Amino acid sequence: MKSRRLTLALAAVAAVAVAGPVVATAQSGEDPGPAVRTPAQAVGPIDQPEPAVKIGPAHGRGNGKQKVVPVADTERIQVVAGGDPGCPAAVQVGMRNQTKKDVYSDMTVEFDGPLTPSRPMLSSYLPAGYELGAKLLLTAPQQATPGDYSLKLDVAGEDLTVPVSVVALDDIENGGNLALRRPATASSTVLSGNYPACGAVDGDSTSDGWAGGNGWNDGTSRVWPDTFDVTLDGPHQLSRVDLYTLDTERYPAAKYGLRDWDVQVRAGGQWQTVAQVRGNVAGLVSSRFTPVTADAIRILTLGSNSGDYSRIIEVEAYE
Amino acid sequence: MDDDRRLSRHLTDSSRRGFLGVTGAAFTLAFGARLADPWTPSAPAARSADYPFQLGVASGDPLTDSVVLWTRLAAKPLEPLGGMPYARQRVDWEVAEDERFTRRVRQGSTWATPEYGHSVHVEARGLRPGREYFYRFRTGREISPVGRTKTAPEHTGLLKLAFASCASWPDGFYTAYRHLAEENPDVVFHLGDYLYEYGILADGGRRKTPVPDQFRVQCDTLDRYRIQYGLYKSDPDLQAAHQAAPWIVTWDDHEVLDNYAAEVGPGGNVSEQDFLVIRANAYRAFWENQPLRLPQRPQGPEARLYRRFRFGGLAEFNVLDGRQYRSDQLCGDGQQVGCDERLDPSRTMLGDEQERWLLDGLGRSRATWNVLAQQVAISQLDFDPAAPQRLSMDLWDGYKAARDRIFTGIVDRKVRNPVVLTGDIHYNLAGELKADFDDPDSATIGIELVGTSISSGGNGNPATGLPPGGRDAVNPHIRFSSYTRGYVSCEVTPQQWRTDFRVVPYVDRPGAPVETKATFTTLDGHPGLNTGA
Repeated sequence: MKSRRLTLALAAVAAVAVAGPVVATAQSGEDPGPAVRTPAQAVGPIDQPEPAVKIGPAHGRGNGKQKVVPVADTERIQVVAGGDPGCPAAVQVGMRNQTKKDVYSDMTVEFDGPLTPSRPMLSSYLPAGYELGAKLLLTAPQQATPGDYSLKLDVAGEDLTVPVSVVALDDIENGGNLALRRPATASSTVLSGNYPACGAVDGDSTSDGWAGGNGWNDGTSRVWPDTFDVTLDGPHQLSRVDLYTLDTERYPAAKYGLRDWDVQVRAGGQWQTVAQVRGNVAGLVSSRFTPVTADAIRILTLGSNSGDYSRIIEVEAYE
Repeated sequence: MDDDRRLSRHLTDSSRRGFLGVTGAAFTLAFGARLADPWTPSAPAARSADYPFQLGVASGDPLTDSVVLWTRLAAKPLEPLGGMPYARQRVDWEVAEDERFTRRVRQGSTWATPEYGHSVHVEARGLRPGREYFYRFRTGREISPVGRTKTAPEHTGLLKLAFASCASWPDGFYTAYRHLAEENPDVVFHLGDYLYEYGILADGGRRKTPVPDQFRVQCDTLDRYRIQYGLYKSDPDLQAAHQAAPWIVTWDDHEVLDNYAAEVGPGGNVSEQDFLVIRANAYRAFWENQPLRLPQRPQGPEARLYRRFRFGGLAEFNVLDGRQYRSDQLCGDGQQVGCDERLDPSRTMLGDEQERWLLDGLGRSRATWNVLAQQVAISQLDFDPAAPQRLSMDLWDGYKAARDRIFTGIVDRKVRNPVVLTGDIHYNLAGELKADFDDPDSATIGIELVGTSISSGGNGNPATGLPPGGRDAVNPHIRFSSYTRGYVSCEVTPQQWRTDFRVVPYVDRPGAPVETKATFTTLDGHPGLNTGA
């Protein structure tokens, strides 16, 4: 279902309400007609991230000519201890085939620290000259001891070590954004885990990686309102909340982004509306308001330009 | 020795000679002594925690004198290496005429290597035609379950086969596979979507069986496809179906990625180069996990999966690959009105080489029944009750000229009793192949039997569909349809082909009973569907 892949993610109702005349009585939405070939209900393409295999920027060691060498897209990884497991630290790791032959190759992944990488090995076919990248996820439990560790990638003796620092949540550099990596919850979320609430406080305000964990999508099509909450580490004076909604060339905010919402803050245990946005068509809206001391923020979503879902890439809160 | 040569040596049973000549007797004693009666529950049924045969055993691609025996060592099936050390491991195998292994006819030894996910593919040769055999494997002190298999006959007046497709693991339980196993067919055809590439929810979807984090993301790399097979093949009902009979498998799209076409991946967001890497990984994992011979082993993104099987003069099966060589789906795929590009004669479903191979084979065949075991519906399926027609671009309707070439080729070659077996759409359908589907009065040239899914789509709806023998208003060539889960069972004799659509009422919990939803017979020389036995 080629070009409909991402469209499906955004219009699930239309995708399953197909039935053929051979089964003329089966017009219900959960009963796909003969030509709907995928099991649309439980595992349908509604929420599949793109395959992780892709060529990306990478650094590897300069040696290993005529060999398959491990590569990674970053020189250092930071993992927050006790961070939301729905939004692990991600690093693109892989292999580059520097030989002139097409090969199948295995890479082992070892970590000497207080966490387990999402995959112990990576295996793939590698055409000559091809570089493979796949996502490796790292989560550290709350009790993980902060410190410097190393991730070791090894392809038949060719190795690459990537330093990993485990840091406490309170020690991360947040640039003044009080919502960064703080606990996020939502009224509903697409079940697959590809649109977690924590994706909207992960520090990535670009729309890259939508459907790959970088943003929140509610789980109730055409049901409004939805709520998206972030709990701060304590009371702070707030005067500005920035909201990034889905906005790419293919899925512009004017067609798919959030249109109407209220910005609320929790002060003294009570939610109060501090700003309202209506008729938005932009990817970023900065709401400024009279300073108020609050320990949580809420986005009360009222409508999107596509009418179906709330899609938030990032929420930031400032003094 | 390089990888290829080592593998090809392992895939034959040539090492058997060494065993028989030098150590054969001692080996036989050792193997036999430890296992008095493997069928007795008190036999070594107490499996150790790291029992390496947790994925069961399988056999496949039966010829008159040989069959492929398969297993894959995995102590921890949900890990990329199956919990096995990164080293090769010796595996012994034996074949006997009886399930107690008192009449052993073949045995040998091979290696399970980490490069192939510790899979074992043994081609047991020197067998007799049309015979039932039993086989098992041993590694170290561990002995596998016993599988039953059967070679193809040289002459036969009866063939019992079953065919199945579309078994999404998170969509439901494999009860239908269990019932299929209990029928003890001579051979099982699997028409694709044996496995789905999708990520699996933490709660295992409808199975409510937790699966580890590594399963959240879609398959792409070889290690990821391997653990997906590890999960699927851990299912006891699927294992029972493999254990009961030899399988002949082909693939559809989900063994790789949804609705891919040749080198074009879904969504247009994967480059051709990247998609071919994914395809290579998917093909490799498929071969590792199925009872296939060496010629079917992929070389990177290419694999020769189409092949032919004969069951005496009774039936000849052309097993097709409708994904690897096809033209890209038109008009954005899905169901479309119009889209006249679908009539373009340059479009292909099978690719020129396979199409020629198919027609040449059909032309040469002397068999009573000539079967195409393939993926997507070949009958025209109009999905709109009103005019104009709305057709699916992924089915043969999106490749009309290619279908016409097959049909014309069948008529020109006076092919006897064409039967098309199909999967893909999660529906049971029985239909008559028309020379011109838009003209109900045109000649009926054969039949198509579309088998529904094993589990994909969930429970289904038994109230849906067309009763056997009915006629659909816009698709008058369709004589039966049912949106239920199950498989299809066929009994083939020189006089008639009998088809039973076997269905289960639910898959969201185990233990569903099975019933026959519809029965059709087709008489030799009279293409068409007659209701009842």
